[in-house]
Amino acid sequence: MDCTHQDFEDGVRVIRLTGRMDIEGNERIALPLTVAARSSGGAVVVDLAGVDFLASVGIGTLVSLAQSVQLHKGRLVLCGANEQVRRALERMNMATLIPLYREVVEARTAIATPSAE
Amino acid sequence: MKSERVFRVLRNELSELRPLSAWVRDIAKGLGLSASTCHDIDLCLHEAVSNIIRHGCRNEVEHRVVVRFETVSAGISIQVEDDARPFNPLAVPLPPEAAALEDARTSGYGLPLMRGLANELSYECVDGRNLLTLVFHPGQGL
Repeated sequence: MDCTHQDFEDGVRVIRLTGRMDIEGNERIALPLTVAARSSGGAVVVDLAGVDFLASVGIGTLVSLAQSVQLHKGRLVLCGANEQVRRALERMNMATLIPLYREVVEARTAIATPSAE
Repeated sequence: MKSERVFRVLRNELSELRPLSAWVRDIAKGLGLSASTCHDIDLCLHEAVSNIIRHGCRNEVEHRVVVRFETVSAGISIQVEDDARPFNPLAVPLPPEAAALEDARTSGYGLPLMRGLANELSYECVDGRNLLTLVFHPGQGL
């Protein structure tokens, strides 16, 4: 599993996850994911388009990450989840806790201008 | 759907999980199941077996986990049998859903996922062995 990030002019950091976010994958990216989020300016989009499997440990990591960003007065949203990953998130009521968008551009717009939601 | 009845024996090591996933996905795809059903079977099995390995097998004794995949009249039956400490995942009350992010749990999503994705779940303890059976109904919203 891989974790990369890109900063944009609107101040948003997009973190892209790729691979299978099971126990093994989660262990591999938990630290780089946390570092990438915590070293951002506080506006974080986690792009799940490359994630083909999201286990419960991955959901826990995303919750913990969003809480950590929020604790530091930032905001984290998700985007790009495929049908199966989206369904797992929705079953756990995640969409009401961490906003989930279809596309990166949509997520960036929302998080850069939260009043426009 | 053609009939299938196979099993796999695992050691209580987390390194068994990915080969287990590849095994069950190959079988499910071979039966022509939808991508969603293949995913749900894979995810529920990952949660069930990882729970056993991480929480049921805490001592140094080597355990065996047997996974049985079988086509049944209702669809697909996955039975997970282990000799770890007795644990009925269906007896655990589901935690209340968090209303706000700061109140959300950072673990404990495995059992709710299994209960939410499998169409039928049953548990029994036979001669000290845990038997968890998950049934998936292909074509019913999967």
